[in-house]
Amino acid sequence: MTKKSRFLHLVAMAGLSFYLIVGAASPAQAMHIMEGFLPVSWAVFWWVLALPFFIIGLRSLTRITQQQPELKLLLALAGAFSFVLSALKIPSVTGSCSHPTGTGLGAVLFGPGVMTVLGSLVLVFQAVLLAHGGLTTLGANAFAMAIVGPWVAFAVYRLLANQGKQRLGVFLAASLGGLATYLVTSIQLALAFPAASGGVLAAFLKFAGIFALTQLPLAISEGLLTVLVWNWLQSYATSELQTLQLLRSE
Amino acid sequence: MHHQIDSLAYTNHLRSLPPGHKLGFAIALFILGYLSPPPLQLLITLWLMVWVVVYAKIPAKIYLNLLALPVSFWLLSLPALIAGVSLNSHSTTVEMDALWGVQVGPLYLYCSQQGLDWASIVFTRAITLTSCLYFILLTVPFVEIIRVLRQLRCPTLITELLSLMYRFIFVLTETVLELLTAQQSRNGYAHWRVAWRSISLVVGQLLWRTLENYRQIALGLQSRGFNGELRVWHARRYQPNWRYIQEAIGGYCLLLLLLVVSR
Repeated sequence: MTKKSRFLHLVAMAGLSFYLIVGAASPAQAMHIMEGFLPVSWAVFWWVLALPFFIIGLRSLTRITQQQPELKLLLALAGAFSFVLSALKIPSVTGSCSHPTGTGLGAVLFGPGVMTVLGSLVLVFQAVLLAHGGLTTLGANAFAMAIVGPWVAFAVYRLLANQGKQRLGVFLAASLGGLATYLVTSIQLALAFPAASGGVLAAFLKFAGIFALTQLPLAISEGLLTVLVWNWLQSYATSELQTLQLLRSE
Repeated sequence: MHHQIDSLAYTNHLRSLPPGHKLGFAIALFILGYLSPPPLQLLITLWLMVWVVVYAKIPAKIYLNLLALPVSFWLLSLPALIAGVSLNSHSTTVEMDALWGVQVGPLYLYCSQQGLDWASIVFTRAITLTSCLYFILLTVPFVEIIRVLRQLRCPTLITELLSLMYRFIFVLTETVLELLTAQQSRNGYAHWRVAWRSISLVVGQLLWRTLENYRQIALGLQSRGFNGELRVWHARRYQPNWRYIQEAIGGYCLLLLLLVVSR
């Protein structure tokens, strides 16, 4: 056996065992950048970028809770709902199962501004109770999951709902919201680790390509699930949904 | 969906130490972990393992399982870090960077030296900083973290929402587990079409019950003259332990000295 072919075998074996490990790992997670993954400068950058959105959201929430104090409870319940939703297992279209992000449904139900604050707090709980994500990377994760995701989902939903295609709107809101989150996370990783040849763009394609394996099926399943939930809510819980309009008075 | 970390935080053997001390210690180590070179980072990781497993008496198996989380994320992003693709195999940047490569059609696939360096830096850094985070999670219950945040003048809406959410998460988790048990006992997850229907019912029902919960609590609070403030009685006393304080400060100074020497 020549040296080169032995090396090739070794690489092939390493690659295979890698995929066995990753493939056997428990349900695919929504993408949280783990603690310590980003260099200091990028961790700080995403914190600084996410903070203004969070503060604006918090201000409007402070205003509405001062007028109606019991809305604090509704907000906290909505946040707890998003957290529990993200801990559920949903069957994925590929046959395995995965966790939904809940951003799409949250943005359509509670509005994107509210979701920015609640989503960030949900990320805190995911770090504290489930050890997913981290504190230094909270800024980056919040930017992807609590700011870009909900706003994309809400914009898509509004655009299609105004044309009367509400179900399609809900489906696309949930799946495109999830996809936007995953693309932003890939961009964040690519900016922190640009490739030696090809730079940020090449690195982005590599990260996006790898995460697409789990995130594309996840986005489709989440879209389907959200439509099913939406149908149920429309037929059985319209009066309850009126309660949520209170949060929109900002 | 059992919240294991949370229950460990309440039963660990460092519970009686003041939460401020533990948080300060972990945050100081966080900063040190970011600044130090890989060998020192491993030293911090081992030291924290002693704190968590020996002093706080968290089962080693659970702790190692938790540490596997950042490793699996690292493994997932490893191919993107070390694999390089280029159209031109003879450009200087590629030749400088490639450890080993193979030509596939018009593309040149190679293993990147820079990527390997990054992967090893990120590995030790992620493990070290995650250990610091876990020290907080496993020894300080969340309610005490909120209390420290309140003392640090964090906006009241944030601390209030955090403490309310914390309570409701357990209520709603209980609800979901009941719904799931009820469905499972009726073959609700027998095959994938039923499973889809079941899971959508769970989410819808959960939202409905959440809002029902809200109406009941709001009504209950209004009838008791709720004016926007919820106060919670807290009677726990903490006891600083000199032995631990000495080890923390002594060890930290030693690490700091090693960092200065290694620079």
